[in-house]
Amino acid sequence: MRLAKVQKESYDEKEVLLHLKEIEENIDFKVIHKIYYPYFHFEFNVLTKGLMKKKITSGCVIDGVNGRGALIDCEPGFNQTPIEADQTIMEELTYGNAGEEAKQFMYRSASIKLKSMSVPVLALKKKTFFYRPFYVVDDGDKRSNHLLTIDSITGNFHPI
Amino acid sequence: MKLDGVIFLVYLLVLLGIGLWFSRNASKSSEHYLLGNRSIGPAVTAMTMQSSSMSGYMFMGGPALAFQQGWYALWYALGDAGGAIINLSVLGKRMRRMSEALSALSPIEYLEKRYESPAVRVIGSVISIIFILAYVFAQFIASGKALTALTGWPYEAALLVGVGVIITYTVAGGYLAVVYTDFIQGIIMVLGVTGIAIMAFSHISLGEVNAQLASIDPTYLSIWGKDLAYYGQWGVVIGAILIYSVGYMGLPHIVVRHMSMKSTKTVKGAIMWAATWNQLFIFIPYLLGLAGIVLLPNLADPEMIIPELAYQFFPGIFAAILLSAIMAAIMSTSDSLLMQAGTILSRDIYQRFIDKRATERRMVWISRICVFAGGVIGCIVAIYQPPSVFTLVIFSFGVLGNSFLVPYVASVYSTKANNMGAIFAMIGGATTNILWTTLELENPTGLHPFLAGLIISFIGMWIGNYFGRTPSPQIQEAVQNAKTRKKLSNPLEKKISQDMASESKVISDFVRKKMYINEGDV
Repeated sequence: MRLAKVQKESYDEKEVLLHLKEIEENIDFKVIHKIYYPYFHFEFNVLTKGLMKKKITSGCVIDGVNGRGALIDCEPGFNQTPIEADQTIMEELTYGNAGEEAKQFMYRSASIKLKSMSVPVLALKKKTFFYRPFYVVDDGDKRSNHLLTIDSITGNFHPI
Repeated sequence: MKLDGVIFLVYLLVLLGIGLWFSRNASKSSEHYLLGNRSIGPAVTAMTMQSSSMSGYMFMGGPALAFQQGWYALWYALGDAGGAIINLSVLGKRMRRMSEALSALSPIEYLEKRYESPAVRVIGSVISIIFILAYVFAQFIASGKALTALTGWPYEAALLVGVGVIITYTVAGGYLAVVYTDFIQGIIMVLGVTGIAIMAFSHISLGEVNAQLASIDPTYLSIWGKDLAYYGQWGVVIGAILIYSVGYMGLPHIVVRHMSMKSTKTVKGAIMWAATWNQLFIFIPYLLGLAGIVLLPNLADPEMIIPELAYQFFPGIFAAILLSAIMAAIMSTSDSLLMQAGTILSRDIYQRFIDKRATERRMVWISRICVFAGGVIGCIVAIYQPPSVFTLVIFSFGVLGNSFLVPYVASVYSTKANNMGAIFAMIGGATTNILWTTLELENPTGLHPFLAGLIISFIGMWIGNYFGRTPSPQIQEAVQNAKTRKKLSNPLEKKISQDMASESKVISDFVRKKMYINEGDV
């Protein structure tokens, strides 16, 4: 067991089950695993060009396994939490290549979202490596055997 | 310049002001700057999507076809309205599952990964760029016409000014088109066109329109077109229905992934409501085209029905505002499409195959050159050989659909579909549609160019599969899984979060490995 920076969860084990019960009352789900998923968080100062010059701060997270980027809506909050090795997915990216992915992702996002064909100037402000907790739940039916992954922050889920 | 031209300029300035105000406001919570549209909500986003994404066709091309061909034009609307539903419910699910399995972010990347062939990506990208630009040319022509109506300038001058504004606006950064202004334009257009429809049909009911059409020329009421031009030609009708239902697949859908850092609640019900409204809205411009035959019998340019009806039923200032919104929406649609074409050229071709380490600055220049070249060619086409907006939209949509439909469908329904099959299908489908249209083979054969392209594309896939590489076991397994994923209960199925697909896949592998190790220990 070791201490790691883990994102503060909004749903604990009981709340996750309650949340699923609200969606599907006929199934008794059971949490079978809690998994910690690796991410890199980057925050940039973004200087946009064009008709309206503008300096903003914007952040993204990079998936520590496959390098996929995602914009985020606010700065994540963290706790130092003890985690077990067998609950933890190992990251496959380093800070260096995750940072490069983050820059590329921010350029692409700015170009699409701002419909801008100029290159914004990016200055790295902050970087953090953290884990996000996910739950794996089982519907208890041996024939159907549905497993779901549930995000402990948003309560969103996806079938396995 | 006419007063209406001044109103248009004021309208653009107001939009610029709104864009500035919102961008300054957003900077207070700067992380929302790039995620601005999320605060507007899915209902409004969905409601404005149809009007802003198809502005030129929706307000000029569709009504003109109804004006010229009568009720036959509604086949196109039927495909547009019903096709999306069929796509979502039949093909959509399997494709989504396959996209998730392949971690593909765009349709072209999806094809490359599914068919395990960079050549598929190159050919797909080239076809996409050319015919997205052709689709933009239709918007250019529409902008020239809208600007002519607003300013009274000659078409050529108005077109050059319109295209010049669009290109400058795209290259300089389309700040006018940030989502808040898109939203305001969408609302003005939806309310404006609905208002025109209410006024027109309170003036003359649909029943009376039909009665008058019957007295002018009964073939307007026929499903086969005016003068029964397509009598018995089901090949033409099927093509007309299919074109919008599947043509959109060739248009790239570039999305930015988002992950919430706090607890969220989604409002999916609103999307359903808005989607239903969208389906109904599709029919309104066509019905206005039918009313135009009766209300505007001497109209010289059928593509000007909606502007003419606006001036007829509303005070000049409101009509000018509506036209300004249409013009601004055309600019917004064009700049999105131009940027998409530029992005495909710079990322899917240049960065992927020519210079993997290209700097962001160079990539932007490649995109700009693409936009500029598109603008110049577009102007030449629109001035010297201007086709109708309808013809150009149908042509570009048709070629895109013919290139991509068969490879997409085969990608999820057949484990045998391979790289050569996809290449033959894309080239065969596109070439057939181009030849069918340019050689005007529709009438002698009774086959719509889209249907002809579809048949050849299917044959191309079938023959090509004998010459290509057998898909890898991983791809075959992914196709099988996409077909047979266990179905969750309805309430759960509706709330699946697609954004979590890649994490879910990694967690799934991790859990399986962990379970396997644990079982081994036992």
